[in-house]
Amino acid sequence: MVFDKKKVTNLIASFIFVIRNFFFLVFFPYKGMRRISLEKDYWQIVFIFLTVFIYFNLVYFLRGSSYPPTFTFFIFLVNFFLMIGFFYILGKFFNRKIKKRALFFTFSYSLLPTLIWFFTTLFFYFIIPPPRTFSLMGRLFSFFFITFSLTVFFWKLILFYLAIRFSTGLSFFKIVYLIFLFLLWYIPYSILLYYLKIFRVPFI
Amino acid sequence: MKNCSLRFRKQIGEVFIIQPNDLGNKFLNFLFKKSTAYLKKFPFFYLFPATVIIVFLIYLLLGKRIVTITNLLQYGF
Repeated sequence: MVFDKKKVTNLIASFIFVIRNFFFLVFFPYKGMRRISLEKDYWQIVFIFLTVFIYFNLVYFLRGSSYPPTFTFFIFLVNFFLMIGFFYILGKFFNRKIKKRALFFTFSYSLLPTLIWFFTTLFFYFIIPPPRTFSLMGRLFSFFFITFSLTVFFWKLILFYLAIRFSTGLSFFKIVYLIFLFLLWYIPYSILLYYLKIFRVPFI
Repeated sequence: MKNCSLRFRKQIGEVFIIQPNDLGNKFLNFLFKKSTAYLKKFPFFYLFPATVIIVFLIYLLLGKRIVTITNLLQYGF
């Protein structure tokens, strides 16, 4: 088998850039998302989506699910592109200069808190399996786990806002309005996915 | 020197890719800038203590039932 040295080097570089951008999103979310909105290297997206696919496989093999990981991944892709399409089409009403590439990159990177939460929950599911009890330890873990979940959720909100801000260039109120419109259809859609047992907590 | 200048130009270009937020009111703009400044660098420094307070309030409100939320979340993946 012959490896193209240049391609392998580019792949390694893309992987390092993903790690660097993750680091930026943790320590400098504003600056990080601004840089990500200017990215052009699509291999970085491949690495992020590969991590998502690995997660779905892990859940399928460790916990057992009614749907195969390829199907869950397909639904995730549908969700993801529906979301991008929504913000692209509605964002066009306010700003004609929206770049699809920036939307694609920023929303892909805003999956980082989602991935961290889902991987951590999977880890805790095996280390300290539910249901929790009303004992002191149960309550202490609950306190810790909800704090962790809410912190990640707020971080996700920040990254979600920044993703829309840097890819559409819209102002704060317009972004809040767009998010409100997004939730109008996404909440019923998530409930439908919940009843179909595809995603209990929305994977966005 | 030329490299430094290029890097500087690139960074300045990055900063101006979007217009500053305008909330339509000077006071609101000031408030927005002040409050979001804390979230631009390592937001967890402020998010984590704020979340601890919120969860403590939830605990005071729900008591032992807080465990139910954890169960829901733990089954939620």
